[in-house]
Amino acid sequence: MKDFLSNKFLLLTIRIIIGGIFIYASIDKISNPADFAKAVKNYDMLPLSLVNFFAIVIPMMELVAGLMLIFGIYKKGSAMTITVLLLLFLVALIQAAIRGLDINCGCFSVTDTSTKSDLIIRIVEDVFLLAGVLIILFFHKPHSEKIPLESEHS
Amino acid sequence: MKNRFASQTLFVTGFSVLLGLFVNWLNPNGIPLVMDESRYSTEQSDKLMQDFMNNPTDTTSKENTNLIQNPNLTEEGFVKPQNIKLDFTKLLHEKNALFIDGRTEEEYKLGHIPGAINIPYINFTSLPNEKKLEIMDKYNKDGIIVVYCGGGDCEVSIDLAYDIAKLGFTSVNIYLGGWKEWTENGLKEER
Repeated sequence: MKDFLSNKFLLLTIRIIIGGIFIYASIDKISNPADFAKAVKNYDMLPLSLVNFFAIVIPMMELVAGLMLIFGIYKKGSAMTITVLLLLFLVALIQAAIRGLDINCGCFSVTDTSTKSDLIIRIVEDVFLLAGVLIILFFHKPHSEKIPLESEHS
Repeated sequence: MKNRFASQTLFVTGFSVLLGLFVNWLNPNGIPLVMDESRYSTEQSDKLMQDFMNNPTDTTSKENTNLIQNPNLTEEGFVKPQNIKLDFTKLLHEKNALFIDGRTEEEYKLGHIPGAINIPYINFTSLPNEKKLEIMDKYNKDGIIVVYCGGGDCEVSIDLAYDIAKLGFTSVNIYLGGWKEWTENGLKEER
């Protein structure tokens, strides 16, 4: 199992899928920050004064971490950033679902008209993505990041 | 190893924050770092209600002066819509102010505040100004208008109110509590 999970091609596939999803999800939010800010506000988790800052910064984290994950730059750092984001989204989604907030998810398109039931689907998606990124975090061999010469000395 | 891991994560995060701020600054649709909280504030409501009660006029009258005595003119030259609470909303409803329901037609048909007309924001906002004016033409520009939507977390009422105010309507109010609060208080519904 461990060998399977540390398989280079499996890890690469996971990186491309998760990175791709994060890049895709970030584009609409970056171009329409005002709409995303409304979606963030509707989760009712942040003081109003912080809403805009999060709405500006989070989509860029998605984009940067997604690109880095795909291109293999700072793989662990980007995987960790994505893990933190996914956990954050998970908490936001679950509390919204529990409180029965009838809100647009704001997950992919800021203007989508998703409803309560979609929150559950998003939670499940989030958990799958989390599983994928944890595989990268735990089974990606750090030495494969170094060039061969360097690893001979370490 | 641990250090490298942490510094990588910090780098990705820090770089994203800076880049995010920079891109937002460049973006023509960029937003201010701190949200304008007056968008959601109902602080004015009690004072507006007091003013109205001290000087009650027909809400549809051209002589209506109470709410426009202190026109809250924005830089763009329209009168800024005001957020109002349930008590003032009820009073304006009794006084036959024009109520506008910004939700979709389907939602409106399931129940709405009695007498309210339906202008679904989602269709309205994308219309050119002349079309918007055509729709609003039959209403008095200085009459008192109350815009509402689903309530709770819906923003449609705010956006629709601003759209209408920008057409030159001088007394547009937003009932943020919306349909949710209205029905929760057992007030009359119309289908």
